[in-house]
Amino acid sequence: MRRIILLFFMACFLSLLPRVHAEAGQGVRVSSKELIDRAQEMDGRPVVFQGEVVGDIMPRRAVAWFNVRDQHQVIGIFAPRELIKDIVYRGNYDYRGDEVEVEGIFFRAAADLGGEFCIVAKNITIIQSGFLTPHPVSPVKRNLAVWLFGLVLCLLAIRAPMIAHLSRRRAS
Amino acid sequence: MLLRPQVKDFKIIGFYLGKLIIGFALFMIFPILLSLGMNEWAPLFDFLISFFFCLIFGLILNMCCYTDAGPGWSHGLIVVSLSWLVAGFFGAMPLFLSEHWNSFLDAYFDAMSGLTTTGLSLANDMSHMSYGHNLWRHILQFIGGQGIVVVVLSFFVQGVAGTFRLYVGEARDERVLPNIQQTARFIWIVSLTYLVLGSLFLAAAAMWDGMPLGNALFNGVCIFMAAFDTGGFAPYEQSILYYHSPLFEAVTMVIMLLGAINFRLHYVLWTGQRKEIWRNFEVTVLFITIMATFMLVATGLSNTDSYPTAVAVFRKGFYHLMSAHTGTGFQTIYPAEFINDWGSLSLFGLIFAMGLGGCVSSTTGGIKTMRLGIVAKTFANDVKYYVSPESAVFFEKIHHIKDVILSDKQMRSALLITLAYTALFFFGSAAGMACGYPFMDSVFESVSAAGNVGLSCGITSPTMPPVLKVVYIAQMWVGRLEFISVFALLGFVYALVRGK
Repeated sequence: MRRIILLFFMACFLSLLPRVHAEAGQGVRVSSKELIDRAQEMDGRPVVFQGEVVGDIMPRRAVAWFNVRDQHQVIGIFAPRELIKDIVYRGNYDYRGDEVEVEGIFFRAAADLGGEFCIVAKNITIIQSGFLTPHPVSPVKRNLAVWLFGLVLCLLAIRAPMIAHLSRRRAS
Repeated sequence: MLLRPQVKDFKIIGFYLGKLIIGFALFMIFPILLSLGMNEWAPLFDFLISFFFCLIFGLILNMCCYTDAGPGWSHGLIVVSLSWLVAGFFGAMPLFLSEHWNSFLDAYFDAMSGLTTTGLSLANDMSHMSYGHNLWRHILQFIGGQGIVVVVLSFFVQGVAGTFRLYVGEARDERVLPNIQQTARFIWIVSLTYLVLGSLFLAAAAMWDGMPLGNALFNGVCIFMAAFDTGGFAPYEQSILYYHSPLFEAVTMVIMLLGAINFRLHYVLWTGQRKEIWRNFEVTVLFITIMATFMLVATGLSNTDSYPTAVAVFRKGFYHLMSAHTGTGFQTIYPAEFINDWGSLSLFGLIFAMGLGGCVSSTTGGIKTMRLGIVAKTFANDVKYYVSPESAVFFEKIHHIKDVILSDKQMRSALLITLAYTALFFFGSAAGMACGYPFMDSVFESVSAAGNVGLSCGITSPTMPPVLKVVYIAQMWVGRLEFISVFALLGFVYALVRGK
């Protein structure tokens, strides 16, 4: 009985071990909302943040700044230039950006970066490549625009003679 | 006895309102051209529909209400207050059609926020917004900052009697030049000159920081319009934080300050009288209040250890202080950080700066430093009166372009507007608390909306209660027009109902 109980506790301890080591090495998986709401608690800790690359990648000598958006907010990422070379698509009106996983250290106000709220990246993995996002024109909008244009032309056509007539009537 | 408005009153109001709305519609040509150039076909039709609707409305009003009569004082004030409401409606149309706003009320909120140069936003997913729609948001700020009436007076109205009454209705009572149309055109010349230079400087800063040329130019133009008109919209969700650039922040600070200065002072500086900037009463008060409020903000940030270094305290603290005081609303921190990290003293300094605003006849909102200075002088004058012999004679003098002796009427007017703004801040704060938000958050957001600043601590979001959206829209509108035009409109409606 004692051996069974001892084996049971050893199994529990062993099953916990890999998770503890993983958290210490890989960082806590967080959302932008958690980073912002719990910024003081998360400050200086390793994190894993996943989202879409949006806007411009701004290279500055050996490093680069870019921004990653999840379902809540957009977070700034500071990374060495060699980490960003695989990022192809950036999110804008025409494209959905590459989905990336950023592993790094989160800073609420990075002292070396002038107090920036950011993740200093140690590793960036492309989870899913970006793609073109079509924006078809609605036939309803197209037809409405045409009809309204016709109405504007009619109004302009009658405006000038109408105002001239009114002015003459007032003068007389 | 209150007289009911006559048909001729409606005709005058309708005719000039129609002119203003036609002028407003013509600004949609810019995003139409950009959408064509960028092959953004869906946004192109959004703007064409809105442009045609706006033109149709303006033309029908203009034709049905045709009159030779010029506007009287009350007509001018009513036309102005109505034109801002109606322009907000048509300005919201392309935004709503873009599907980046959850409802027409949200789109109207943003349109009014743009026109009043507030900068609070309810937009969703701005990272995927078209260039056309983004440009339109910033053009709204440019139009609103200069003034819809100033726009029309500059380009579309020739020799109309009573144009000064329209001009004054938009909370501008300073004539830069003897003729109102010359004044309006001068304001535009200054603005367009700064637009070219400011956009180039911002684009250069963006390119230095790694942005490609095309985007750098687009961002330069948009951010200039938002900074000079102290509006605070930005092309991206993170506001100025997106750029991660002290250089960009520094350039925007200079432009914000230019926007917060009286246009009459711009004229004086442009004509070579540079010493005026050191002698001007308003600028002196602005400088003192910036320093005083920064001391509060910096002390508060140091007490809470919000930032690890003095550089970070200055960069975040001073930037937001300037953004608040000039009524711009640019942010380089997330809204929640104000409440979570800044502490009460810093927030107090920021709220005070937001409520004060910049100079009169500038693009800023708030009480204005001139009025604060006059109130302070009035107080000092009264204290001197009570401690001096009865036979003593007092007057207060200030230097604003020229030496001016303060009259009782000016002192009373400054006090009244200050009280009115305070009541507006109180009303919005109460509305926020009634909707369940905490005290400091409600006060912060209310002062930001009524002072046309645009800094947010997190209340302003698409999930905000609709009644609070309506309250903030009203605050932005009333705050921008500085009460008189709005009271004239309310008086008109009352006379319509109860007049004889």
